[in-house]
Amino acid sequence: MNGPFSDFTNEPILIENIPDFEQPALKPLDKGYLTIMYISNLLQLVLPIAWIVLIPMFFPEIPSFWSKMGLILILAFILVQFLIIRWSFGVKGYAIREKDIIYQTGLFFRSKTIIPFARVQHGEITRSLLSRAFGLSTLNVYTAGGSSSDLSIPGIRAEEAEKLCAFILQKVNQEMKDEEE
Amino acid sequence: MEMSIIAVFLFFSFISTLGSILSYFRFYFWLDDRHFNLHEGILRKNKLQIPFERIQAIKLEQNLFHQAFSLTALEVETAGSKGAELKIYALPMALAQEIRSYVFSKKEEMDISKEESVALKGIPKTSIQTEFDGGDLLFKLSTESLIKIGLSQNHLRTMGLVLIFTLVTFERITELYMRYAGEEALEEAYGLGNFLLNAMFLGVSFSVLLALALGYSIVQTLIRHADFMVYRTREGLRVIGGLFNRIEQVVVRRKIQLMVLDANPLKRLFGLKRVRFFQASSDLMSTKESIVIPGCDVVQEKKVIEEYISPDRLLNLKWHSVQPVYAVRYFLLTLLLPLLIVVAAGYFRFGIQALWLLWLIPVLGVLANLHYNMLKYAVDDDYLVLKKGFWNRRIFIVKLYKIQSVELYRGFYELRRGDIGSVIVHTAARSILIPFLRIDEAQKLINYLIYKVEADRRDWI
Repeated sequence: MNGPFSDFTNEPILIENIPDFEQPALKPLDKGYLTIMYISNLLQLVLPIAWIVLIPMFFPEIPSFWSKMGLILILAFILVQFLIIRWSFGVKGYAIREKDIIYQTGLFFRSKTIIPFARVQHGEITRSLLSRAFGLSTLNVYTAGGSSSDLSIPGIRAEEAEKLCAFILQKVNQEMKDEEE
Repeated sequence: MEMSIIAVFLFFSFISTLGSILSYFRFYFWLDDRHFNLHEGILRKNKLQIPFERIQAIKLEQNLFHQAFSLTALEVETAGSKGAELKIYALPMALAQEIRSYVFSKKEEMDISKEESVALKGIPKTSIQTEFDGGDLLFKLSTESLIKIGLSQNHLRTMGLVLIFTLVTFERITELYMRYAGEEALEEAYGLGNFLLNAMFLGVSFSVLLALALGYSIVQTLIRHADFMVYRTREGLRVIGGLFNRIEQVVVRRKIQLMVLDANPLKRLFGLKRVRFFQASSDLMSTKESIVIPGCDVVQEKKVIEEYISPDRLLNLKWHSVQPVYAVRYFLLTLLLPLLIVVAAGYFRFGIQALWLLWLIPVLGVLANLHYNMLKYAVDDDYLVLKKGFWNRRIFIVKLYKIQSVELYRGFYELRRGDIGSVIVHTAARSILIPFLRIDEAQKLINYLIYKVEADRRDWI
């Protein structure tokens, strides 16, 4: 095999022993998050739907065929959106290991990011109006690597998010102490 | 009437002078064992305290006034939150250098006392030197190499600038011509009868354009990097350069997150490479935190590189290729697609002749293959190195423990295939993409990188 680790084959035990980031099963997001996404998706489409429905009322001269077509298109669009939301929900998930946090997201463009606690700058919890109604929170984890490497994990139960955030911060502090000692 | 305007003007300049003088007397800064302190402001008071460990770099910058009075501006750059940066507009040069040495020696002392308790009892605590440590001169860029650097700069941008300038001037001339000679004369001048003349004019103006762009680049390089000197000090490299604006920066060895070497074809012809050091930045969009050595020859390059990786090590790396399908994708998306768009546009504009451009396809195929062959990566015990680019050859070098996070990325195509994936390595300065690895290779690489980061106790910043 012409892999990158041919140099290490004289120490096969070491390379075998390195923990595999694909191994821990990802914990899916809370089901409530799916509902939130559906609702916010519908809210975004309220205006176009209203427009399509109201047009025949105020402009009867536009043939009803076209307004019907518009409605069908919008409905199809909603359906596709719902499917995408449903499928990408299935992709999203996170896992916490002893020394890092893993998050996977993206239906068509999938990324699985691993951030070691030793590199976390800070963690925070944000809650939107809708997610508050469902008792959910978003956990944000920041590194010095800039926005592309930061994590934002939505749809975690509020109390669990608190616990997770506290856990991560505790880990971060511990790592910092270890470094100083 | 005029008198009153002058009076108002005088009044305001008096007020602003008074303000400057007052703020001068209200401007204090001092250093204690652990902090850089600053108090300023007359009406709105501003108190700033920056702990030494947060300081990333101290930059000295001299404009002409500064140089005349051997003063310098001093700027303290920090990592993390924005706006906590500190600038002192004028200080005696010697004092500024002393301040910098003091801060860095204090920082080092803190780090040593940190490390001492970890292990290795035998290390004697280094005595703190507060006197200025200028370091040993590694090299100075000669005027000849500065001219080469100027010649090998990216001329597209400068040519664009010159082009705009020429067009504006040209328009102005046409306007004048029209006014004095009448429209008919102008039409004649542009007419088909004067084709040869026009072609000549075009050729001449293009050469002039090129000469102007080259001249501009050379002059700009000579000014910006005049007297460019590189020193090695205890904490890292010290780099000074510039004619009107003399900028002095220190690359603190431990703070380097990423080193990038690059050379375009002209630079390669001259045997030069550009070296850039990236430090942790609070604002990723700015390249402020990168320190650039605009061009150095092989001997100089070795001396400079040594700050981050030993040159022998770089030469003896074991390089690995990515999956060949990368070449195909690069050909289709980055080369063929734009060509087809151009051809299509040309077809509608000029007709069937545009299809001649399709002869370029095999050339693009060769280019894609060359590009693919240049893309290589290597991993060893301490470094991840990526090299890429056929025209502009770049080498990215990261110390493994400087890595912030690692990402397995799969786009639509990669997901559909299922057996390949890309690895993105995020550092505090920049992200590096290693595209199209076999999926098990990518997973192994990620596992290894993460293991290296987590097993390393060293402080990354």
